[in-house]
Amino acid sequence: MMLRHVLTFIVGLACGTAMAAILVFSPIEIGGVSNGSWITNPHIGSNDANPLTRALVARRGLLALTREEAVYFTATRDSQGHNLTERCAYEVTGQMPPTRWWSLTIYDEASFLPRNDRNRHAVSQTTARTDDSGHVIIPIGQDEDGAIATENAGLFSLTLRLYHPDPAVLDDLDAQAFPRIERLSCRGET
Amino acid sequence: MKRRGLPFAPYILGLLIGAAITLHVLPGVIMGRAMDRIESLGGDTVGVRHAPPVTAENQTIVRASPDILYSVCLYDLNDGPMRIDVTWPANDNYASVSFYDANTNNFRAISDRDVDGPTTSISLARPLDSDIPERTDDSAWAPTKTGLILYRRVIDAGTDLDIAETERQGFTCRQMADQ
Repeated sequence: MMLRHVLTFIVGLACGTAMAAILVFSPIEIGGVSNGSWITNPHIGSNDANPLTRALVARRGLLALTREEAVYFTATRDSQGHNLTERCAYEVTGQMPPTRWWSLTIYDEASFLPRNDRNRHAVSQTTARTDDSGHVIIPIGQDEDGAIATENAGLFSLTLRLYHPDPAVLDDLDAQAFPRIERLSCRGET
Repeated sequence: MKRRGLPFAPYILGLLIGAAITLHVLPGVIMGRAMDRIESLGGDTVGVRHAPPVTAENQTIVRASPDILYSVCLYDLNDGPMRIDVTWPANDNYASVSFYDANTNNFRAISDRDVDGPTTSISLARPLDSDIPERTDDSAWAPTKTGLILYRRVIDAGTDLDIAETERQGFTCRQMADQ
């Protein structure tokens, strides 16, 4: 009887270890507060992160800054809820949250910059095109100047970094105006 | 009812303990591997490795930003406190030094907005280290004896890369006892 309990415990231990490892190493994003397509976790990098958040950050965003220095928003879906994929062209349009400086970067499923010879992995506050009302227009996967290239990105994610965000952003992460990610067209679609 | 549920209790207990241990251990393992990778690259000047601008070909850390210039220093406080010096950008670009313990926690960050002058000196020590041999502008207290310090500096379209490169050479990191 005792031996059976010990064996059951060991099986549970192995299953728990495997489950946690699968959870951390699977291609899921660090959850938390969502705002349209954009998701962030206010505990990234901080001591008060729970063990799951800390493990996910170590795997998906090692050496992230705390929210007072920078807030990281990640999108894996467009504004219609479809996965972001290199097969489609997108446009990120709208108002950026108030911050000292921002940048938008593409990462592949392994969280690395996609390997292609375009060398256009990011757009920043300094380089982004804006319209008359100050809203950004960032083409993604389009063959034009200022576009973020998606070749070899597969199912990709976009990370929006806000350095020294205004206190209002930190107070209300889910209520700020954020740009939309509009899907324009996809290869193979008529 | 209790008797029927009892055989599952050791399994559930094992499941929870296994998951908890794994989640607690993984950040340290991942950080350790990253530090080993950085250490294998060697240091450029006084303990600091100045990485070239991030590209798809040279990236070593997940989600590095191509708009940021990174320099890294691995710290080891087994031989006593360390001194970190930083030269801040003259053109008002964002820059910071952030301190990470061996479990990936960012226990301190100092940015260009937190300081007054063009340079800052920082002592890094364990909380129980009472004897800091040198006076510095600021201090940071490390929860673990080893970890790393990351210098970040924005390089945007308007940044003169030669000036940015010169300024970041002012990020140095050394054992106080060495001086």
